[in-house]
Amino acid sequence: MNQAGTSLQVRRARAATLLSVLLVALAELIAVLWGALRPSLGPALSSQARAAVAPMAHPGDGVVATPAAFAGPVLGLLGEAFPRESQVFVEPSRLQHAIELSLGGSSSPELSGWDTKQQSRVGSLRIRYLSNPKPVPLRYDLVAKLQPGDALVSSGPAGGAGAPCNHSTAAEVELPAGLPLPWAPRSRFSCGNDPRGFVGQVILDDARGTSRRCIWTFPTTNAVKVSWPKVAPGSFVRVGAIASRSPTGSTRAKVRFKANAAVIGEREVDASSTFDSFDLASPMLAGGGEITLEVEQLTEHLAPVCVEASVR
Amino acid sequence: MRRIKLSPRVADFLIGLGLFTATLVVLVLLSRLTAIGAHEQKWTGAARAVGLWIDRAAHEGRAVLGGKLRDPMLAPVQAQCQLPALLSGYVWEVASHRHTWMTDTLGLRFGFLVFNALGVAMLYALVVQAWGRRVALFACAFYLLVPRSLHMLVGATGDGLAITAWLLLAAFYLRSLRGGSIGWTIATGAVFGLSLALSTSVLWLAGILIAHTIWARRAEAREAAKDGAITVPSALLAAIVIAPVVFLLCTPWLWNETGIRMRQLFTTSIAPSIVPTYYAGMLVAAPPLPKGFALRSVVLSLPTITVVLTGAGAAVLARRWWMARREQGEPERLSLGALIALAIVFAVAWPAISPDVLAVYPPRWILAFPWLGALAGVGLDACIGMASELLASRSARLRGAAIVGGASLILCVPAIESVRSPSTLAAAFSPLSGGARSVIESRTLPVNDAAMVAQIAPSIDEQARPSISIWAPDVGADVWDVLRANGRLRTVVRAAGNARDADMVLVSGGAGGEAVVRALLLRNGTPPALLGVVARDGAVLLSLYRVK
Repeated sequence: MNQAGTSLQVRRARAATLLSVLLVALAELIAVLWGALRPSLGPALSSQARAAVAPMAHPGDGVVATPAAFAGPVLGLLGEAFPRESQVFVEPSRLQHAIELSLGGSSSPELSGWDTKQQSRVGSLRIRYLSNPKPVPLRYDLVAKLQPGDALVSSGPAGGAGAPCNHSTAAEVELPAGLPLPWAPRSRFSCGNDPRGFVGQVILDDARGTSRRCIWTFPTTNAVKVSWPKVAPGSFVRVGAIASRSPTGSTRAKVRFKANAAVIGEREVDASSTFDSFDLASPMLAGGGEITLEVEQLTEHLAPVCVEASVR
Repeated sequence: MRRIKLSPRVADFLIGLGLFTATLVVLVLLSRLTAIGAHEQKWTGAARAVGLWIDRAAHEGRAVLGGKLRDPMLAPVQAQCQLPALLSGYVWEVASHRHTWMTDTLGLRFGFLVFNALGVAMLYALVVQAWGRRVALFACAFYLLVPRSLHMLVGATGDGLAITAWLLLAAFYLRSLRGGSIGWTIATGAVFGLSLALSTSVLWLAGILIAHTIWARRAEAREAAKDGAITVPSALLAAIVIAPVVFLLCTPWLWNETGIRMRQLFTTSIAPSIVPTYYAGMLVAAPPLPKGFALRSVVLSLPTITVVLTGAGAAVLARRWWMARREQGEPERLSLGALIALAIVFAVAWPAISPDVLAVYPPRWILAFPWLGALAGVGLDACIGMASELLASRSARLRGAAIVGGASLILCVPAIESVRSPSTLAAAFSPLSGGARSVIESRTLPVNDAAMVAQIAPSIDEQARPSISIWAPDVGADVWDVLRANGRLRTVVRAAGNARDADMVLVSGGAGGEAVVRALLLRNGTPPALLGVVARDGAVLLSLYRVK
């Protein structure tokens, strides 16, 4: 009886082993076929994509490419036909309308809840014109206003006045490998001699691959401070902030906002942070005035911190 | 009709010959579709020089055989890979230069393809001795049907030759270990010299074989020790005497300044080295070196079903070893098992445990492929055995159909993965391990591979500009010359210093390439226009943009 039982157990174990092996083979075969059927992208789609987008494009509308990992090639299909006065890589709640370019037909999570007004398909590319049911009007774009006449930038110990960072429009400077940006933009505030230590408008992506126009800062032992003295009145500041991964270890930084010298909110960011926005509401914003951004590194592992912010 | 009964040895020889021929045909067909990579340029350049030298010798006679004219020809490769370079050079001279029977690319690679195909036949010869034909055939299939393996074998690479050299020596060593005529011992010594001429990495295998001999002859050694004597394997003695002669004969570079060049060759072959290489998305250029590099690369690169069967094969061998300890049986099966275990430990585990001062980075983990293939063959054979037992009560026809169907499913998965797209085989991680996307994220994509860049070349030529500047940070500057030399590109390409001033940018998929496109968009107000992509399984491996 025992021998028969053991034999049955052995048979079952063998059958289970065989079945597992066959299931792995089958799963891998399905994965191979699924990969082979994935939509592909090619410049042949370019002229049709341009023709489809042109009638949809209006000044001020957003353009969103999805999936985020394909944003470069998808936007590259439009090339010089890209609508010049459109907004790309911005926080979408400010937009009234947006054109979504989707490879494979997946919907952008950023535009979830938006109403589809128009739709067309070009090969593996789906193009939709969407309307935002609840736009949150923009009062003052702190990223766009990072200009010498509108903003003052300084660097120094946290809480202090700091030394001013001078604005320049010199040639771009190549940045060291390992940073999430290939070069420092032409228009920038330079804080010291380190090419990384500038403050300027760039486009970076977060841990999920979502890209945003944001303010590049590279705080070292000193904090970086950016002030906009003449901000239009609003009710809150909508903020998204990330810290890049440092090759030497985990980075943490503190992002603090002040309105007319009073702290209205602060948040710690690290390499896992995303551009998911948070709102800093304060009655101090109602009359307009000065808004200050302070970015302070909390660890010795240096990495850039990028902040997207706008007054609503 | 006469029936001729073949002896097992003759039958195995014919099967091995058939495998060699079939593999060579497959490699030739795939090689025609794959452009010469920058990493092959050294070897194919040497083959071309050899071909021209042979051409000159045919016209000018023995005068050109002298050292003064021979040395410049061999200087690019010096003492490495001379046999395949000599063979390729001869084939190219006859079949591509003098006649037009072969394309330049195939002619220059042909010698390498011959030796790469020989590796498969040697794996069969090695495994069939101990584990029978079915396991040996499965082993060859699992070795060949790995995308990275196939990509390596269709070109002129040192790794493919190293594997052949290892298998060649191991097959003869194992045969001589079984005893028999002195002829096998002498042949093993000669093959050691021949293998050394193919790849100096055989020196590492020599160490493994010494360890294996000590294990296999431990009882004999114990007996001898009791009498105050030591045992020395006869193959080792033969190797010491014969191998240097054969090695020197096969390596013309060493015919001049023999002592100096030998010393240079062997010190560089076994010296620790670190080549900056990405691991899990991070560039590693100095210690501490990632200990999991080899294991991670093996698991991601092998088809998942092969990994599973390799584990099954290892479990079967472990069980056999355990049983044999009690029953003293199956010494030959265990002997091959022990050799495979030692080889895998060297290729996969040694990089994980060796101190950084002795490390070779990146480790040559690809040397483990044939040995892992053999284990997978054992695993599949065991599965077939189990299926036969489970279906014993069924009809022979049903049993046969079920077994053939299951084995076909298992083998067709790596086969489809391997031959689907020759130009992107270097990026073919197993789809269950993340596939091409995982290659991009971990930055292990060898974008200096001209096979992949060649797919972009028509997009460059379509611009109809005689000369352009391209910023391609991940692609070696010499790739463009390689493509032009092999007729894959017409346009003259100049390397641009930065993306902003270039006519075009060529970036690899993933965060780095996306960052460049975004930066150009911010700078110019419009994104650079997409001109071409190389994609696999929906992932963009390379993309070409027009900047101006």
